[in-house]
Amino acid sequence: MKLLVVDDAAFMRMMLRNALVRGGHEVVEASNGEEALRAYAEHRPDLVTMDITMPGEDGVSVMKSLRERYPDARFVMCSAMGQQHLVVDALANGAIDFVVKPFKPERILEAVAKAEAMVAKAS
Amino acid sequence: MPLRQALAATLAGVVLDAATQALDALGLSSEEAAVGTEAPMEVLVMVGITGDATGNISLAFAREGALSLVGLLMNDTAPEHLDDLACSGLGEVGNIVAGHVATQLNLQGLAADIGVPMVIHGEHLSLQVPRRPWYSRLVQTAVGPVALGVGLAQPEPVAT
Repeated sequence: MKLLVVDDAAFMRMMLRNALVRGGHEVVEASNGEEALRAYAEHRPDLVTMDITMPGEDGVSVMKSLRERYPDARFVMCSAMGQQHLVVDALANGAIDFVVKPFKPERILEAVAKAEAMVAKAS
Repeated sequence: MPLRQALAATLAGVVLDAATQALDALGLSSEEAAVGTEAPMEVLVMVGITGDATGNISLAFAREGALSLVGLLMNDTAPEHLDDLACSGLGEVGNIVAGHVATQLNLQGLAADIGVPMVIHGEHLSLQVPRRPWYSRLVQTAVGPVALGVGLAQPEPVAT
């Protein structure tokens, strides 16, 4: 799958990239909402992993903006604990899964596999 | 002890317990440090808390401890320098710890959100928090001592 990793923290982008590339996926990155909109338009990823707490627009708002433009866009939210209302909001607005930080690489790959299964079922 | 002060102390205890548990979740197996352990103060991670209880939490490390923690998170050897990537990793530690804290505040019936972490490093740092009670706890972890701090403005007592 082609994935867009959206996270303001370079460290988390690196961790996610390493896990996803090892899992055989292609990865593009964005560090904020604006970059995410541009990267999505350019790369049309199969799945977006979205951080929730970011400076400026938070991940749930970015997800909503992307879904307005691309209704088929698929999202997995990555969040620290304690952001339940944002996670609930994200799931209510179509996020497939959420992964709580700190996460093991297997957990993010499991979420991607879930998205892959959804894509396969839809096509 | 006045009621508001007692509530603030109770809240701080909840926050410090949650922060200690978060260090365990990160694989640091923390326990209260022995009396006389020197509090580290070379790398300071601060995260704002907003909502019904507002303020900050902090984690302070010795430089070597902070570098070891980054290595631990990466399942790799510790980096040699506190470069941008290492500081970004420490910011994520702040994010994760603050997330645990916010969850515990939620369980206490308080709305809480977390801000974007800030990482400050240098020699002989000193943290002053005017006009707000500041509570701290020193814990011993797999990467050495970590000083946890919290200063939260307590909610106004509800008249019954």
